[in-house]
Amino acid sequence: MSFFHRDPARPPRRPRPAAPPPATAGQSAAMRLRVRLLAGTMALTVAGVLLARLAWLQLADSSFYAARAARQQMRSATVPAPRGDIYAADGTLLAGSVTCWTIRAVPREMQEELLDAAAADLAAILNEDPAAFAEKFADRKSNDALLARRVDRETADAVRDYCESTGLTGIRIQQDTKRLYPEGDFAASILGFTNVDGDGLAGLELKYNDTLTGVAGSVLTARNAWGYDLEQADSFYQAPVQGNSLTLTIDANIQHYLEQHLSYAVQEHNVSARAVGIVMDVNTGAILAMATKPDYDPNQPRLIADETTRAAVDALTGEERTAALQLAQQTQWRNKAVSDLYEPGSVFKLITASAALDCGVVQPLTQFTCGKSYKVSGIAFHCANNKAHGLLTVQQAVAQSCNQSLIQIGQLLGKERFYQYFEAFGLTGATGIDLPAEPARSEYYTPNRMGPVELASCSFGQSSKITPLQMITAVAAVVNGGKLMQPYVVARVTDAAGNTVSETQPQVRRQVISKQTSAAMREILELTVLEGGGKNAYVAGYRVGGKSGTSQKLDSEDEKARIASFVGVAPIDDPQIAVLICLDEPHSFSTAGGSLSAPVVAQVIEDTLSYWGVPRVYTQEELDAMQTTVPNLAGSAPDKALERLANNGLTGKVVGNGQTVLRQYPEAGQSLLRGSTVLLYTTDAEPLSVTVPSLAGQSYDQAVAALRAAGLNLCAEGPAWSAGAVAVSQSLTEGQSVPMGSVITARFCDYSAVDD
Amino acid sequence: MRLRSVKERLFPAGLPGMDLPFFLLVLTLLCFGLVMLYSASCAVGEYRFQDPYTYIRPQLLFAVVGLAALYLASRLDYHILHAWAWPLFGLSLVLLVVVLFMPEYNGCRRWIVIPGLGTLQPSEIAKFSVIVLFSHIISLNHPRMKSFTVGVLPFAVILGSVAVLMLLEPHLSGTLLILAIGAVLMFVGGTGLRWFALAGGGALAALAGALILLPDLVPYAASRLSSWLDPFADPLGAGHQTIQSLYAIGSGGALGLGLGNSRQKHLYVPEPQNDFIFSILCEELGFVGAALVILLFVLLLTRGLVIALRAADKLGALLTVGFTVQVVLQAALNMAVVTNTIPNTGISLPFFSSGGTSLMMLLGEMGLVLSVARQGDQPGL
Repeated sequence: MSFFHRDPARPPRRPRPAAPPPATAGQSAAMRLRVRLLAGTMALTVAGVLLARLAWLQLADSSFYAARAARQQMRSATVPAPRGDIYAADGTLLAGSVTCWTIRAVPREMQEELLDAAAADLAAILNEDPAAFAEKFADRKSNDALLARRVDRETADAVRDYCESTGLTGIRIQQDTKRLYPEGDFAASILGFTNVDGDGLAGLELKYNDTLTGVAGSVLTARNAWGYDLEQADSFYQAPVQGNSLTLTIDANIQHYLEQHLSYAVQEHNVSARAVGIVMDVNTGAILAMATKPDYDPNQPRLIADETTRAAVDALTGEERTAALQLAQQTQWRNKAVSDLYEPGSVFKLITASAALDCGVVQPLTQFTCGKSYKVSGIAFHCANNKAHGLLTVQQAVAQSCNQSLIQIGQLLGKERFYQYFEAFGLTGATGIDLPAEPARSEYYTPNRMGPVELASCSFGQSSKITPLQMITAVAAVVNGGKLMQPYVVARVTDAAGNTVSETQPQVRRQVISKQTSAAMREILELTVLEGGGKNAYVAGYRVGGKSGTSQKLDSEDEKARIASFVGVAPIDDPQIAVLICLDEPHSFSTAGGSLSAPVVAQVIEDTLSYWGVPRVYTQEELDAMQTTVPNLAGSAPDKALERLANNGLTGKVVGNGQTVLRQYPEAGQSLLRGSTVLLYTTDAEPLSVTVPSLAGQSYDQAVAALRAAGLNLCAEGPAWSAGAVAVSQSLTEGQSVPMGSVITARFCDYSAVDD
Repeated sequence: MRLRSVKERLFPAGLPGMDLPFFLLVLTLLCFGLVMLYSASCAVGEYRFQDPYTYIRPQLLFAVVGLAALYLASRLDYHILHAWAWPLFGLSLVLLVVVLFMPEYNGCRRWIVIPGLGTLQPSEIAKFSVIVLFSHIISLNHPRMKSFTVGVLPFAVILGSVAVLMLLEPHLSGTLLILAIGAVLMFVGGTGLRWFALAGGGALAALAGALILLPDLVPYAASRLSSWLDPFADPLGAGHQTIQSLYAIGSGGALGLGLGNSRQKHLYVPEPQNDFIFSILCEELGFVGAALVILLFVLLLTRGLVIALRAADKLGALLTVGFTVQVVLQAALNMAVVTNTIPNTGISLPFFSSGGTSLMMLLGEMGLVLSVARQGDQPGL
């Protein structure tokens, strides 16, 4: 054998030999065979084995590996779904959701050398404590640290820009959603509010939480093995679906009237245990407005809205403060209209009278005698202020709110029938309104536990306790022809695309009294406003019925504590709305519902009916006291102008000695009481000014005289015609300097109206 | 005179053209490899060095130099390798000894670091020199290859000495590759088939012996073996590389995620630019892309062996068989490792894996195959 090539003269290889060597020179057949064998075996083995293996991995079993790979590569983040919106009946957005951003840090991914600057700079952008951030960042193993929850777009952009400009990694900006109540402190006790996780805690937000909650979406982001997001990789985005939206029966305008007038009364009469107002469509049971004042701003539900209470809570420290704060929060969140029981007092006389009329034990003109007192089983019952009413019909007894007559009517009715009607009016249990925290059962006497004394006190509205909502629902049945309606707040549920999911149909729970009884009761209600204890609910041009109530709080430590309430219905000849106002513990010149609550009811009724464009129909007395419109006198000769004013029932006063009227005051189109004075300026003289006098406590005639003497005009509101009516407020304050001829609006109330 | 003779040797007049199919296959694999290397390595380059071109830049440079080497080698008369065979082998042995005194990297001593120039892998040179030496010896002694003293013993001694030195690094996969190539050359050269059967039995006995004599190897081998059979048993340890590679391959599915869209290359698959580049290829190009690569290597093998069959002499045939089989076998083993068809062992994918010097050598060897083709019978060209 040889290991070295010893042939110095290698076979010549070029030029390509003229006689080329055989193609396989030097190769043996055996060798060629072995090369072929090798080629075949190796090619088949390599291709066969590898292709089979790859087919198994990539075609047959691909999903197994792909899923496991995705699990390590993809980071899944939840995108919270916006809650459904809540709209008022008129389309006003009451609760909406806005997109916001939550900022989190992943300290593990943040660069060590940027930490200090990042803590300071990010805290400045987010308006947080730099030291707290520095502490969070110092935990270098942490994968998640919350920096700021629910910031707006500008702030989120500022954070993003900061990270980009400094190259800081490990800051996550996650899309989130936030509840927003655009109207602020408005309809709060109906709407409720949500917690940080977007779950409803009170009101409709709680009751309709499942409806309002949407379906959360998600983002899948590819990341590398170090946990950083891949910039170039696609993200898989599953969009969240907004929850269903609610459209309420609440009309934002009526709610506004109610809240405005109720808040004024709470302030004016120092109501210490909150006040309730409800406006109901008597024919459907739809709640048009509902308020408890003071309440809160659902955007900041934990802030005590009532300044006095807040100051009192803030004055405390430690556990005392915590307890007081919680109590104050629980109180302001409570929807008193639905959740709290109260003694309805004399308003309840409507129920007793309806029951007695309906089962025929009395007729509207059946007479009763009211003396100094009326004894039942040895207990003497008096009327308010120990008044002896004398001989009264049923109509008068209700209008004058005579306790003794009502006791006698109750006795005629008997406890069995009394209870039957009490239950039939829906006063024993929940109304079933779609708001949370309604008590399942009210406080009342069942016939087996009711003695003659209990029957007597129940007949005029003491001893039982019901919710304001139960009361107004029952009153609606009294006036609407006898149908007990199911009250409701949500008119319609729509999905994110705007399709109607469900619509609430008015529901009659039962016929409680006959139509005839209802008609008789309407008469009594109107009589109460025109002649009885409800005068202050009078609205010129609208026929209003109503009943006042002034109830003792039997379980209160304060013997003088009262609830002043009034229920009004209008138009009483064709009832549309009922308004119930309850002022719990007013501290004012009076505690009577007829004095304090009736004017609120009158204002809400007047605003609501004129908002609806219900035409006013005036009586002759009203027409006499009617106002007239000032004509346009500019350019006329002074004597012509005076003549035209006289034709309109007005007088004029010419200022200056020019030939034509240049300006006039009040201006054309203004409404004025007949006999008012219009000033006519014929030169460019300064308008004459006069000082506003005080009208407080004056009767209508006195007020007109006082204003005319000052060169001013009057516009009267309330029962100015009533003998006992006095001015209680005026639009321009005393001592103010105003142009001569200005109109002063004064509200009159009749506080001599009977107490109850 | 001497200068003139070199020039004459390299650029003789009237030299026939290259084997175009083989050249085009090499060129296709090279370009494919460069594209895949950039795709697989850019993420790692960016993360580790803030430079996505970290790996592709030197590779491109070496590819250009390598193509020049290929061209020159294709014009070289391969018969001068008769003269280089023994000196080259001697040099290989020296380098294999020198490397044992180099600092450890990942528990192995496989690289000689030449300051300022880069690294040199003596096993690569040993592979080359064994092919050259075997081709040289067999072509001289072909008729007597059936006998033990001529057809087995010298080769066994040569392979044994190389294998022992490489196992000391340790470099098991390289050793096995050299043994396999040596065996293929002996098979083609005419060694009796019974010796292969005997060698197989001997290898098993040697393996058992090695495990007994070198107990240090036992846990190493055992861990390799168990992580092959059930990589999910230790997903964060021994099975980690394999699992990540399988995730990448499986994620690719039939058509892949698209070139550049691998997610596993983002630090999940270890060394995506090197031994595991094929798993990234499978993820991005899917089964279709992977099958194309396998097809290219099989075509390279068959064309290479066609050139061997047409070679002018035994030396040319054997050299061609040696180089072609070396490339394809290494590629097949790499793909088998990456797909967990065989136990995990460090072996790179020719034309694809990052590594400038080995790419350059590879292209040089392909040049020698083309040189054989130029002198052989070339029907139709």
